[in-house]
Amino acid sequence: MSQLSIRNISKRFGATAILRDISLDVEAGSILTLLGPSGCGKTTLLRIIAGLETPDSGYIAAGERVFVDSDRSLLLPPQQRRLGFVFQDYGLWPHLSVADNIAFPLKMAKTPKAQIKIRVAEVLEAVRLADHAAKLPEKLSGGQKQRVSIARALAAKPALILFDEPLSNLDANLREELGQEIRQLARQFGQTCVNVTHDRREAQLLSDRIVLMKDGLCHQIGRPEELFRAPVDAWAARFLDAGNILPAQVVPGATPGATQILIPRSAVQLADGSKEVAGVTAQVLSSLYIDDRYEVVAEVAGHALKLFADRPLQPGQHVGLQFADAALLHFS
Amino acid sequence: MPAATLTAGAAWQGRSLRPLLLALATLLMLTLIGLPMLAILLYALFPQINEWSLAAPFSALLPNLMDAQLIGATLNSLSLSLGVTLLSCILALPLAFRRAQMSTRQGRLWDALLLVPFLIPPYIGALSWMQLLQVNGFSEQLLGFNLAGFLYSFPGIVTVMALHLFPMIYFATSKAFAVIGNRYGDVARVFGGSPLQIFARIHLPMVLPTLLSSGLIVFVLTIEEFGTPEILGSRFGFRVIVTAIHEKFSDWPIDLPGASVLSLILILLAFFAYRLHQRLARRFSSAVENQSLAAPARPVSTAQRLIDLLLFGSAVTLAVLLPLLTIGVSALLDTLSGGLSLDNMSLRHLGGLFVRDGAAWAAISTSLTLALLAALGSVAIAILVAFTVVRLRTRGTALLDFLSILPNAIPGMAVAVGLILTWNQPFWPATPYNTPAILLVAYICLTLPYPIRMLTAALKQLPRSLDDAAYISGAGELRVILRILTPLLAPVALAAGFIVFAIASRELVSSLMLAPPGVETVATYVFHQFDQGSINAGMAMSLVTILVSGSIIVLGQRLPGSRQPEGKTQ
Amino acid sequence: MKQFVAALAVGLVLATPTFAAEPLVVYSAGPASLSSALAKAFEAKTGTPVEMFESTAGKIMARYQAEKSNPHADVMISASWGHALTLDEAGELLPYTSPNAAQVPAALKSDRYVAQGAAALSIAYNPKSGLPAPQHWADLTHPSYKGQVTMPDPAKSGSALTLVQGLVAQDSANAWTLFSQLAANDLLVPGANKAALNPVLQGAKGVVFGAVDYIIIGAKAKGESIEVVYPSEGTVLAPRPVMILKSSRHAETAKQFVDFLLSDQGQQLVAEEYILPARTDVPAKRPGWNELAIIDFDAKQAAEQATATKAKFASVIAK
Repeated sequence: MSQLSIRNISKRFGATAILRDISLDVEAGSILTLLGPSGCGKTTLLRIIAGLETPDSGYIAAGERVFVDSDRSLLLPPQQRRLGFVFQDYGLWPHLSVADNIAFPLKMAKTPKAQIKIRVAEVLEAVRLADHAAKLPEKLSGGQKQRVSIARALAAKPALILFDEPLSNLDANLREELGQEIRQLARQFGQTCVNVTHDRREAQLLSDRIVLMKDGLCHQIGRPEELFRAPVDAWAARFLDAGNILPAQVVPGATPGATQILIPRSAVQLADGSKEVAGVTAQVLSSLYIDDRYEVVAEVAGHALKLFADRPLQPGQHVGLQFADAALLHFS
Repeated sequence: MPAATLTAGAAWQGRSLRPLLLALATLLMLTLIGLPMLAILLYALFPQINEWSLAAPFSALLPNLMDAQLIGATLNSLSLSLGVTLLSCILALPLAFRRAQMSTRQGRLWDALLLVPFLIPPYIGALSWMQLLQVNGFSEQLLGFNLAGFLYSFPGIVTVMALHLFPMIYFATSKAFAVIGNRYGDVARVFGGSPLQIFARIHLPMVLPTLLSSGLIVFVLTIEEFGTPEILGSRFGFRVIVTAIHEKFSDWPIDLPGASVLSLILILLAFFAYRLHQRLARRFSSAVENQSLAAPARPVSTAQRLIDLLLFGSAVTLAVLLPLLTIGVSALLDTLSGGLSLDNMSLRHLGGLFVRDGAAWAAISTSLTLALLAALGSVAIAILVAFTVVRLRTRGTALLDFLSILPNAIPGMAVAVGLILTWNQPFWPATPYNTPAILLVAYICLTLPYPIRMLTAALKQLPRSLDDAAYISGAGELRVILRILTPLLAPVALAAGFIVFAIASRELVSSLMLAPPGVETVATYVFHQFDQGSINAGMAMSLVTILVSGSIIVLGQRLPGSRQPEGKTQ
Repeated sequence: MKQFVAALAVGLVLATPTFAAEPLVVYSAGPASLSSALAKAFEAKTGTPVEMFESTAGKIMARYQAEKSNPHADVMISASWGHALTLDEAGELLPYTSPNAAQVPAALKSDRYVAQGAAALSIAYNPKSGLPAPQHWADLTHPSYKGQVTMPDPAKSGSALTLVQGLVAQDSANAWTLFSQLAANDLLVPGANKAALNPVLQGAKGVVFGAVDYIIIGAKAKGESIEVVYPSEGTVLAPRPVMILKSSRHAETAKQFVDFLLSDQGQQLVAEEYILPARTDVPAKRPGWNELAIIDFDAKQAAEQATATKAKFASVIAK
């Protein structure tokens, strides 16, 4: 069952079309990520879902509740949509304590006081901040602030929580940790979420499905592995950093008509020299030990190529490379 | 594409409060400021509009604009305003910069002291400088020198006015410096910037928008001010537009249409200053990142402490202590001609305030009540207007923004005439005219520019996500304003409220014209004392009022709302 | 609108004199203590309350002008005779001759307005200044007074204008020579009456040319070091006109009030302020009608030339 339906949403700012006739569905209890470069319209779409921006036309509904319907000139203000929102800059009210920040949406929903207390304790527990209830937001670290923001979004049990680049203000380790935590919380509460990011790592961390957006259009939709394994074109492959992209003429055995070839990093192997297979010769530019293997950058006919190796290579060294044909993608 | 699109009208149907708030803000601004301004404009064009006649249209324009002295007066007004604005910036900037580095306690003390100039009516201030520095003035009687030559000169008048007005810039920019915090300076220090370079290259450009907008206020205030140019400027034949306007209001013959025509020139000057300010502000505006607000305060070295003490000490001495002492000593002198001598000391004038049927205390309580209400009213309206201008950004908000500086640009006399023309009409079902409420309307009209400027600037610094988070949490516009923005703006609102309170508690010119029969305010009381040649009695009243309003402000600063940690709100 | 409602509420709270009868509205320039004493005495005598708006002559006129579409004032007492002339010319004054005006000199009354009292223009000097005591207007052109003399600006002070008009009417050539010689003697023309007087009281200057005498006499009575001199060659009066406005809705009460102003009691209150009572038969507490040499001149004709006179004065002084 789809929790959020978006139909034919369009938005222009002056002469520029920001969103062109976007239609999307988000499954109940899943996390959908709007991924794309800046200016692709993803944030505008998120703010339109929240009611912070007004679309020129289209239809949005969460379950039975219609948010926007331009045919009926219907537009629900954000305060009546009963959503959660996690802001990039946290959006915590500095004059209210952590508990008061979280209680705010409950108060607005006229929840009885006793229940507010219980629910605040519950979500604080869930984001592991039970000890910080009385503090002012300025006393917290960035990660803690964002967890308060998440707790606030969860508090009133909204139909949908919207995330606007929730991890981008945090450092790398924290990002991973909080990403996992958000997924876990979403699963725990059966929470439907829409997430916006320009960062593919953040998208991978947080998504059940990803919508790759470009120039106000949905460019490609799919599960993360679908997107990263099978980007629809060279632009998507490049944006997702799905692998090496080489012109067809430098790759032996390329399909006729293809102009560019996507070669996943894992599809590149060092030729062991004994076998006579179609391959290319490359010169090593760098070789770094990362995680539990070597990440090697090599140059093939003037193009950089990234691969994984199980042994170190010397910069300047010439090596033969071969590609696992089945993994290659040909773009015309 | 579906056939139907969400038109502008339909787009807001859900958020029904927004058009309402915009309408309310516009209505308030048009009623309080727009109508009296329109009345002045009409009076300039139709000299008999006061009798509801459109006869002899435009007949007042040419004769008044052809006045040969007008060009000189306009140039004088401009150069005076520029001079005062520049000097005020120069005086305010170092203080504001250092203030942002100070501890809260210490800063509060200086802040309180630098509010005092707002409490001193300009004409009292100018008179006290005269009494202090003129030939045979206090300085000559005590120390054997006078500065009459300096006082009655262009630099002298610029100095006196700047000493009175620079706190306006000080308060605005010290808040801006606090928002920026130390972090950008720290970055520059890492890259090898010297303190002076950092100030000039990093901090100054960042506070420039604030500097410009508070500078604009000082500029239009100077253009409008009557007391000082009249008292000091007339000693060396320095005529400005406002003195020319007042001549039309003075003894004989009264020429209200002529005064309105000249007021139009001031409105035009204010308009150009406003546009210039807008252009400059757009060019120099820079967004301060909101994320890393917590800028660690650096410990202040003893040497720096001494420098601060010297800096603030001398500013406070010049702008506060000297005028206050002069007023205080004058209040204690039995006769004006007796001069500074022990046997001329007397409590007669101070004591006199407690007799005469308690008229003095009635005046003080009238003024304080009105000032308090004016402060509450102005700040409430300003929060609404700031929200409308900054957050709604629909068409028409630029008009609100411009309207909000007009009352500063026009002499209080002209505003008073505009208010009479507006409110003394039989067609109003109810009118504040001829009740003390008209004074409240006048004070709110005259003081609205301060809270509007200050709160608009402060609101621009508040991240929008704070509002958005509240909307999404289910709060409507009114709740966002009352529960989120108002508490966050409280310190600035309080500071603005103090300024309004201080100015309204001593406003003279419109009070003299608008006070209903039988009602006296502090300022009219002082004026009537002066009128009977009793300068010292007037000084006594001024002193008492400054002390009373001052203590109210000091008490107000202890309100819980102002106790929030610095920088947190912005 | 909350503010507005609050404002109205304050209005009601602060302005709660309870009105038994319809009050008479009087706009009055000049000594506040005189105005309130008159209002009280009139109310005590007739039971009709008086709403007294006190301000400067300029401001009561400005308020009256601005209120024209919905007038409030019944009676005006100005400090400037010119106001009466202007309003009379415009036909805005209600004709009334008080029976009590019989003892007012003809020059100080007409069918439509009458003087309440008058100030005389004088030389005021500070004996502490060490200057010789001046006797005549022309004395102040003497080098010993160089840089010590102030004079109210005729453009800002009605009484100073009257003095200029009077001296010019008496002997035009002589008067303009006098002013140009004063200018050459560094005469200071700093603004209205107070601006000319204060530096003399404070010792920065020594003498006022054209001081309003009752203020000087009052200041002296309070212990100020100041003396008033009436030049024997003549001075002018600055009468305070009382006018009933045609727009008055309480004409009968207004007439009663004018009668009261010119009654013995009303005139004595005037005398208390060291102002010369308009009625010659009421004793003054200061040099009276028979002790002053008054220049007789046509005020109406002078008023017509006022703008030119002020301009000429300004140009003579500027030299």
